[in-house]
Amino acid sequence: MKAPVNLVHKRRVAIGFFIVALLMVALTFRVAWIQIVDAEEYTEKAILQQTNDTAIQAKRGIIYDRNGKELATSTTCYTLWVWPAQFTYEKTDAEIKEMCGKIAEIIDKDEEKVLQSATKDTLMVSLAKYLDKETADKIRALKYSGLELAEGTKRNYPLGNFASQVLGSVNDDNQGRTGLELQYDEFLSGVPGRWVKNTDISGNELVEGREEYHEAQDGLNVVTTLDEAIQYYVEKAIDEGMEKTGAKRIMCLVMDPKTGDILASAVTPGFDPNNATVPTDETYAEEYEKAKNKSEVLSKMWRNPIVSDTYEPGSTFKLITASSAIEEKAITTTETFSCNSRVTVAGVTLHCWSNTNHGTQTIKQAVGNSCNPVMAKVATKMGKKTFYKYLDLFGITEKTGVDYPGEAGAIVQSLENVGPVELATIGYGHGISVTPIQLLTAISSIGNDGVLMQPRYVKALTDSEGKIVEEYEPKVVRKVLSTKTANEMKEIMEYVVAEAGGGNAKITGYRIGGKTGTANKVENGSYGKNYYSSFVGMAPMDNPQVSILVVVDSPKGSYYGSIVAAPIAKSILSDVLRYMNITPEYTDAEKAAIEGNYTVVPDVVGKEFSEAAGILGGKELKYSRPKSARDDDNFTVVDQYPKAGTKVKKNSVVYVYKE
Amino acid sequence: MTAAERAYTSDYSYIPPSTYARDFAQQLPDRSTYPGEGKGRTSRPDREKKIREVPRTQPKSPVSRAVLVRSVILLVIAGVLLVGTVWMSAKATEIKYSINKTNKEIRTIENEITSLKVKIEGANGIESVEEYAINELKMKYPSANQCIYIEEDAVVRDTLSAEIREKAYSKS
Repeated sequence: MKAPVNLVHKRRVAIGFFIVALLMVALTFRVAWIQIVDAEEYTEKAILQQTNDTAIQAKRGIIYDRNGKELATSTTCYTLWVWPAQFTYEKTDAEIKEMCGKIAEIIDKDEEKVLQSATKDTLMVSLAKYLDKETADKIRALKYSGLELAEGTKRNYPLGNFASQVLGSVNDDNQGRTGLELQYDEFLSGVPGRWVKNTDISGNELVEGREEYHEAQDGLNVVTTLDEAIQYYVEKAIDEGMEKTGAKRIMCLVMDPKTGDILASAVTPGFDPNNATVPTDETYAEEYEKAKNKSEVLSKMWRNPIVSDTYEPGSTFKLITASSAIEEKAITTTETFSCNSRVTVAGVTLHCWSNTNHGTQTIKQAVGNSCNPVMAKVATKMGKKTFYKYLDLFGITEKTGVDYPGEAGAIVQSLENVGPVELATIGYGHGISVTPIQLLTAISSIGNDGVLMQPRYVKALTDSEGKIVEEYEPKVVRKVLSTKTANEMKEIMEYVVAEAGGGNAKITGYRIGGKTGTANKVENGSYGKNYYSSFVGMAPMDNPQVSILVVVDSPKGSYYGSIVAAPIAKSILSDVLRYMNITPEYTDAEKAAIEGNYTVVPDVVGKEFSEAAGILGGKELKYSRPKSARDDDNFTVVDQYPKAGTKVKKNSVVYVYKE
Repeated sequence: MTAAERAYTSDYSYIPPSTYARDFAQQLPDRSTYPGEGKGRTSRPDREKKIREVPRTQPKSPVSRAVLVRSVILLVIAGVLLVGTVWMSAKATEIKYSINKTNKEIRTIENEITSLKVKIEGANGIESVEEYAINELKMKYPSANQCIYIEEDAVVRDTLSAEIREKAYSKS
């Protein structure tokens, strides 16, 4: 017999069923609410939680020299972050101090500062940037909680303080800040990519997850016109020059006159682009310490004065005046001029740099003697309109258009305001301010058959495989001089070095041409006691392959270009011409002198000391002056020993005497 | 329907009113006062208990062995498939993790290679090379009288070998 059904049980079952049913309905309702009403919100949250949208940093392009040597590249580095809450969780003060000590030792920082950062009341703090892999591995090996190493990219300059002003530097966001890094930033930086994927909490990609990969476009590489070897020779020579002259700074620019390629561009003191915000030079470091506005000091340090600063070129500008006058046929090469060591223009007396009368001279001799009165007469003879026409043709009145940021223009008086005195002084390089790159570009046209080329730092852009993406061809600006005039000017330049005051730049076996210059520096609106000593030249003169400009800013002691700048140019040219495999051509006398290691003493009696020093240097002789004339570069040599014509060993000393 | 009526018409046994009342302490409704009474309806006569015939169900035949075996096999296969699917998914995840780890290692090594290349470039700089050549190898730049320049048009003159050759030709 079946057990009787209890009504109470049945009711309980019914109630139970009802409750369960209610709960199921509620659950269904809730599920429906989540799935339908709040669907969008939860979908978004799920996507947010699971989706990892990683920006793929594009690799910044490399900067090469013209032969493919890397001058700037990017490497991986690490930033050390600390999460103070996690780092100090359940640790005693002594333990925290010990941990900070170990970290400080590894990252080479002050322990107190590390401790301060690690115990700061913030979410996370950066302890150190730009750590290399070795340091990062040491930090990882500590296995401290609350530390995180984030991967990043650091711009690296393998050669350190090398062409620093030219290359420039990047900021913490890896964007170009100065120099070529800034000029070509849009090509170097590339386009970042994206990697959208579903990941777990550790960042590992899920098997069945969604994945979207947008490849980063790496930056293009920049191939400069710089030659690493030539740049090194230049930097070495100007560093030695700084030690010898005690100058404030020395600038040097080397170009290929045929193409406008800048083979070397150096300014000392420089800086290390790897730590661009830390001055390496003592002078800058001191100034930086004391400065209230530190960014001003850094800007000064990063500046490239070859492109951005003007200076009075002095006698080097006489090449421009002479070329213009010969081309315009205002003068001929056989015409003679007289010099009484002064000239009067519109009632104003303008003096020659030399106390000695140069007498009657051709234009070649006048340039060789660096005679101011003759150049003033030549400029006056041309007239201001014609003279200014040639300033325009030589590109002096406009920027060169070089591919470098912050190029300055020349400071030239307007045609309307130029009077006869101003015209006369501009003729010998005073009363006009040019940038070094403008001057060398203009003079380089003499070595290129009178054709003015646009200077350039970069010749091509390549991709990561080395394929050329864009090539920049040398740009002809205009024809300034006829070939005949250019040849005559080359002869004049060669005379200056071979026989006149530019002798300290002479190198046996090579035909070097050039011009020295010495100009007062304008300080606080007027001419001060300091000078710009310069030398501009090119070689070999039969077919110039290289042109050079050396400018020494405020040398101590001797300040004439022939004594200060010309030897630096000689040192650079002897290395560069050998490096470029330009064969010297010796005359028989020179061959004999080389073999016998002797030279013939030239006649310097009657010449000013600054000129005599140049001539003696050209014969590979040293000089000595009396004690009373130690600080005097302007005395006239009244006697010499050994006498002129004597055969002596090279590098022998010639004693010159003052009255 | 009252309990009595339901009992009457269902499989449940009919419980007589006396028992019903005793067991449940409930008064059975007075039939004489049924709804409808007084409307021409009279009390119902006692019905005859109808016994419903319960259809005899066929005794369940035992499951055949073959079917059982087949079922078990299918269950096993299904189980294996399910387990296999789960295992494959887990394996795929493991491989994916391994790939990610290897990719990270590759990236780390590539970065190390780049860093080393940079160090090599720095060490191969012309300044380092010159320093090493001068200081370690004691090399010097040649002076002018130490250089012999070979020219394309150079003619060998006045050498002993040329003299001997000339003499030999003259003899013959």
